[in-house]
Amino acid sequence: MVAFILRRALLAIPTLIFISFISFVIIQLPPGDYVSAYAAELRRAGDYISPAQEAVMREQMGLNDPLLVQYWRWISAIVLRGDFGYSLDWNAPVSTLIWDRLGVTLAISSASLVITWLIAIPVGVYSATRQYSFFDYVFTVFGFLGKGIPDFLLALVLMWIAFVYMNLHVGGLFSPAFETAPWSWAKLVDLMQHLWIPLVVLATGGAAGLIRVMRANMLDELGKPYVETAYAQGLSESRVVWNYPVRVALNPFISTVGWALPALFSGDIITAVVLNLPTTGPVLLQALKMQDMYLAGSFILILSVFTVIGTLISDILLAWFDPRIRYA
Amino acid sequence: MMAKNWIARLAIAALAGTALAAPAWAFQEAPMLTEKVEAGELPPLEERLPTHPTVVEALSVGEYGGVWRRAFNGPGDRWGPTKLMEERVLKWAADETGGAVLVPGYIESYSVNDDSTEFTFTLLEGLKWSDGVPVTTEDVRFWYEDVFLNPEVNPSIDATLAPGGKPMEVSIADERTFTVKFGQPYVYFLQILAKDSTGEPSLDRPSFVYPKHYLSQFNNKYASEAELAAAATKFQVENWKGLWGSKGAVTAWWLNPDLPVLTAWQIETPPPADTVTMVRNPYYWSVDQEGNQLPYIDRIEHRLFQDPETLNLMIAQGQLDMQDRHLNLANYTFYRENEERGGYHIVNWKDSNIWSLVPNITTTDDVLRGLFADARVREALSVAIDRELIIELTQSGLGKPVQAAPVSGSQYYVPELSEHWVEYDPDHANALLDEAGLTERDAQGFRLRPDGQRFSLIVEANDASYAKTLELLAENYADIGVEMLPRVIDRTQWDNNRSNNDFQMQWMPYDRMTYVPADPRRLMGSDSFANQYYVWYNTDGTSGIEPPADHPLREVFDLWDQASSSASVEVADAHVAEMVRIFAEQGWVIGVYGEGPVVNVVSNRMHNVQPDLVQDDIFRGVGMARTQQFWLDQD
Amino acid sequence: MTEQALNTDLPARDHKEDLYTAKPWKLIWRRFSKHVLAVVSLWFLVLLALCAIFAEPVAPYSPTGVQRLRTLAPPTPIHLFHEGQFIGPFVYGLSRERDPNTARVRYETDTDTILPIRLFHSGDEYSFFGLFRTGVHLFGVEDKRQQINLLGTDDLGRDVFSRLTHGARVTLSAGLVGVVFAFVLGLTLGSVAGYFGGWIDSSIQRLTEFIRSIPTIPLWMGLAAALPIAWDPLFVYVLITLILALIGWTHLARVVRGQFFAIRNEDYVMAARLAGASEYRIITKHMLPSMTSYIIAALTLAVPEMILGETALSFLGLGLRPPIVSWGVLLQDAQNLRSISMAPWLLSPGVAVVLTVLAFNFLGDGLRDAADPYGQ
Repeated sequence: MVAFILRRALLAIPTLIFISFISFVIIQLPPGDYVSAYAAELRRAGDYISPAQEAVMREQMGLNDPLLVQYWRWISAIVLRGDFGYSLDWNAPVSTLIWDRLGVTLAISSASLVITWLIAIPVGVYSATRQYSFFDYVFTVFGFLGKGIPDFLLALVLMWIAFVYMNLHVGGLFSPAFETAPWSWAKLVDLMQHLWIPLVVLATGGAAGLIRVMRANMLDELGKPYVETAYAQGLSESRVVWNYPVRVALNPFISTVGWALPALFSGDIITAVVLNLPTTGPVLLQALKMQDMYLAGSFILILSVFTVIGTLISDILLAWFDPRIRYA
Repeated sequence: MMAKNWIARLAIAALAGTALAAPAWAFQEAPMLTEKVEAGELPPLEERLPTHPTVVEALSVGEYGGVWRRAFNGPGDRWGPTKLMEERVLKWAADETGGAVLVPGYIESYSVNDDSTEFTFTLLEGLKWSDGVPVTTEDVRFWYEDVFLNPEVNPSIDATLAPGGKPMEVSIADERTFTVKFGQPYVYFLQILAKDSTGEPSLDRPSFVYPKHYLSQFNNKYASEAELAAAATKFQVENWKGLWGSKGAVTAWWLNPDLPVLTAWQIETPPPADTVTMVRNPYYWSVDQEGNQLPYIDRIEHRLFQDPETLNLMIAQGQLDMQDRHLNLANYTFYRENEERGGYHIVNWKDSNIWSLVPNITTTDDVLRGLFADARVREALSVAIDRELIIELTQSGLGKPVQAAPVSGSQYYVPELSEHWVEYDPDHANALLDEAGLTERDAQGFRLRPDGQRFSLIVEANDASYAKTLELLAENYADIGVEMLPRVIDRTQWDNNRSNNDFQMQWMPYDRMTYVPADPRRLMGSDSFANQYYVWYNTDGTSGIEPPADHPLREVFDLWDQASSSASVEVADAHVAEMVRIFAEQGWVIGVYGEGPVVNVVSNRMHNVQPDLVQDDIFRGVGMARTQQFWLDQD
Repeated sequence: MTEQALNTDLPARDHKEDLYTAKPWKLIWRRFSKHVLAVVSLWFLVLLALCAIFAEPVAPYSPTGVQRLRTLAPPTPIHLFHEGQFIGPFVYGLSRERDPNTARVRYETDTDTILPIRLFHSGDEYSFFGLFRTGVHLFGVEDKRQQINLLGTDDLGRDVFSRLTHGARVTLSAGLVGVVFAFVLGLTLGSVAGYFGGWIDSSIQRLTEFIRSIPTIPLWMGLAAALPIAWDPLFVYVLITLILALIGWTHLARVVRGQFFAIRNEDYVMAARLAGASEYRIITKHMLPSMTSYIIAALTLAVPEMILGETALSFLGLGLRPPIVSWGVLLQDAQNLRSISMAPWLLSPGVAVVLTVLAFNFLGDGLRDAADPYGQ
């Protein structure tokens, strides 16, 4: 196993170099650059900067250099000094922008992930073992309601109901009064009053899919002869179900669980936008649209590192969970 | 009801105004500042205010304190906070009737010579930067010699500050007086100043003065290369030039809390914080009619939001005290119906934007360019539009069918021009197109162009919220046999397409026509219907496309040359009026609707927000309402 | 559970002989037809498909027919009795006024105007598949001013029900192309990686990592600028779904690969291999069927994602957007507080999406149960 991990870690290096370069190129694929996007933004506000001034900005931001030079400057700073560069749009270091929001992002996305699993796995198992029961149908309908309604719409409807009928402050993580206040018990209560909407929205979207997958896998497994054998040997239902088919049924889930890692880091962008959550996702979206390349590039680099690590974790978990799997 | 309230308040203001005649000036300050004075952190008010502070007539004398809550949507939205507190030597402000007048800012007086070539300004006596350092003509000299004329910092001087190609000259008379000279008469200089300020290059800088005592340490004429490099590292920019310019880490007020300013508020928590706050400037140099130092409001707080729906939710929850930006007229009913819930009311201003279809008359498609050049086709494309229907369905019935021309209330407003070609008459439109020779039609009933292709127009908009308007327009055009293909595209691409002369028609607001001379670029096709011709004009023919010899736009260019060098305002205005007439009569831009309300959400705690003002970039938007005299109920 | 299944099979004993000799397809159909919900779902989907194909006659009005005097009208209730008297299905007329203060349009039911609902009523003309022109609609009311709006109208006064039926056409055709493409790719590459392992697996895995790391938004922005703007948005959308499929297969591929790793050394796979079955046959006939349930679940989950994803790229000018009518476009129209608080009937496309997906899911369940060789 150690040799396997080592080999994969080594393999990750060229993969990452390749990914970082291609990302850097793709970010600059749309026509124009940050300065032209900025100049257009100014023109809309009635301000004009001359081509000469644009040229100075380009020079000062190093946008005139060949792509390879720009790439090298950026990647070498990261590798050698851990310096992720500077956001052209926010006039702030990339690391500050990301760090400021990382805590909240990780907290919200891991909480919603855990809630999703806590709901989805037992419900999926229940639905499979009690196929076509009343509650199986209830869960199915609810699951697809969660899946069929866009997160954006669900968030809006929930917020509107919470505001109009429950008289709660909605949007963001805090009421304006607590936004800049120091931590206190009242602030924590306020946070909890705000937090449930994002968690519900994120968990329903994710849980719906996972319930279906879990249920389907369990059905595939439950019909197999080894389950009947286990029953025949007089094992109790819960022992049979949880010890054997569940482990196998988790396989598809474990195959991709590692990819939750980059998702944890960026959070759910659309939901964050409409719920006005101070997470990293909306910053990335804006950076890409403005061609704020160091911010966007660093962000994507971090995401891809997590993707690669996530894949590796998934592979290790797969082997650990399912004794039949061996990496030759 | 609104109007009545407003009149009542005005009457109080007028009374207060007469009380002002009392000779003894006793100044008062905000409790927040008194505390600081008592704690020894600030000198007393008399030492902070100029000898004769500028008096701003408040609509009603207010109470001190409070936080003005607003929302902003990221670094690109810095104009929101900026327009609340821009200062210039002369600034547009609303008079009692809502009209725009030029009022002096941090100057005691100004004068203009007879042929409008020399402008003399005298700074207020005892004027101070927000850190308490006196403002003198040394700061003017620093701005002029070391910034404005310093190619390292300011690589090109804007044409508006160099009429006839010769940059303005500034000479210092004494500690408070300086004179600006031009090589030719420049009657609109003060108005342009009030809109554009003096550049370097941004609109959000004070005019003529820069705090030398602070900024010289970042200037290449004063600081060594090593010092500059150290400063660049400290502010985390690539090199020292990044400290200056439009987004300068040092000179941009919203990024650098240490920058001394002249504005009523200064930045306290800069972005990228999620809540950007601004706090009152203890040295602000103006008072109300009773001698209370302005502003009334202690702090302004801008919460970051991403999506317009989030903003709407903030509004319904009463989380904003006064907001004009990012509100959408399509939500008018929503705003009104939630007034009680949110504890706010709607104050309507008048929109100066005229939403228009802008054809690209310099398009590279020769046949299409030929069609756009035919006045009959332009007229047909205009009278084919059922403007009333579009207003009823997309603007909550608010707004007027108008042509792209100065709006009512502007001194260049001509009713006939605003109504030019706006009467809905599809039969006439069809007849005009037949007359123009577009009689052939294809199987689906669309007209064929002279080259045998279908007469179709791709119309680009930059936001999905305009899709419905475009659908309605497409139906109108289908009725006259013209196929319209609406396309909603990304904003950056939309902008680029104009710069690159790569569009047929775009849907956009036509603004900045309230006071045409302050920004005549729009009438001359810049960034709109004839960008390439304008580029040709602006670069003296070195780039862009030369307009055909008999093109009426040449006349517009000539008229502006004459207007901008006229020695008297009367002569110049006559030329500008002629420019407006040619622009509107030619119908290059197809105005659809305008003069609707601009919605301001104003909390019931907020006072002195004057209704019925014209919202135009020229007048610097909300700045015209004189935000320093807004006040909040203090319970 | 097994016992229950046996019990339900008891009445079939009379046909025991048939059962033993029946062809597999017949058996599957027989089991399927016992699954009530699956049958209902099948009918629902058939009906939906018919609605989509024959949208013009089914919809009472044109999907783009603007009615300036009928904006944001609520759904029209259908009545049978007027003042206690039975007169068959009819609707009342509406009178309209605009609140001068809030600019809101309000409707009052005008009980004096009685409009009986007519079947095969003659209304707006349309072209029937380009064959001939006709004005026959499935139902409607006879009045120039008044309408029957089963699901209300939008802010341009267009009938939501008519838009929904027309929208089904685009949503259920163009959108499904991408789903199918992504599935074929995912199953193929996943199977290959899982079956062969080794360097083939390793390179496919690096490819997935790479694809998942590509920043898509700038890619789309570049593409949006590069594609000719005159192209039909619907065509552009189909193109984009195909490209999306090139990215979207990774998830399925990894799942299939993981499953294959688990079963490739099972006895029955070995047996098939020893029996000389081709690799293609082993994969498609022996290994993939072991995860039928998962594949069906993944398919039914991909359908709503596709519908909701229709408009995801519209802010870049790449997704579907008006004037095209699709469910995603209609839903996007409802995604604002204005609609939620003042015109909740605009959310009806969301209900349509959920119903359709549920129907697909139950149909899938029914098919799986019917095809399951272990099922009784």
